[in-house]
Amino acid sequence: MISTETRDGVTMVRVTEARLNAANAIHFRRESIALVDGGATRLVIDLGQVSFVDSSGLAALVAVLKRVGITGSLAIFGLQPVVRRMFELTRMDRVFHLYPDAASARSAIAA
Amino acid sequence: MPALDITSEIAAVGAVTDWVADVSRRHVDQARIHDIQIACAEALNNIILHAYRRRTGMPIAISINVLADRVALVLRDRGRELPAAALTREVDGDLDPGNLMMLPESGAGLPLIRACSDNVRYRRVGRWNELTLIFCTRASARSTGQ
Repeated sequence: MISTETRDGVTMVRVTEARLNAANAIHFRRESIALVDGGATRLVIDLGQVSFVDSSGLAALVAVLKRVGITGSLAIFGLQPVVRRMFELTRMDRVFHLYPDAASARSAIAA
Repeated sequence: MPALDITSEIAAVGAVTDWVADVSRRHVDQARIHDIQIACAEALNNIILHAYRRRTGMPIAISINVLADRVALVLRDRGRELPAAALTREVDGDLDPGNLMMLPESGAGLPLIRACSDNVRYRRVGRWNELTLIFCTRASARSTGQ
């Protein structure tokens, strides 16, 4: 479901599935929250390979954001147009920090 | 009119949304196709998770009619009747990015369907639910939602 890489205290989480939806959101949530519980406090989520996110997928992202909490930070990049549309429809583009690429997301988290 | 019969497996939803996009692509711009896909996915999720209560193997009939000024997507199932209040339910309150714990993690399906569609019609026909979603694809048609 995800691949991860930690460098300089920032954990890059790449979603390796083409969809983040009701079929797999629970796995993403479980694996990502395990990272946070294991000490990852600064996460960058790469959705570049994700061509579709439904409300279950968004809910999983919200759950991860909640677990990161106010003491950590979370950024997302790589939104494809239909995924960005989902964030806009649900107003989650006002909640999550969205970036155009890995470098800008990582810089924002590391700051 | 293109039609598809599936059974109530969550894993099938992705393929259906791809099919809906393929059928619509020649006549509808990409932005509108995104709305159709989102509404279709949420409607199917609701059928599988709520109408059929996650029971697999149950019938879902999908048809899509691409007209000159609109796309009509019809989904039919034999699950539980949709509560009348559910169709008009709004997304919970105003989002407060500063209040993480109050961010909603559920309930966005029907509001999303309404936000993506120009017209949503539900009816119960015998033991079947029938949900019709209309997506206007011309500016004049969108303003009237017909």
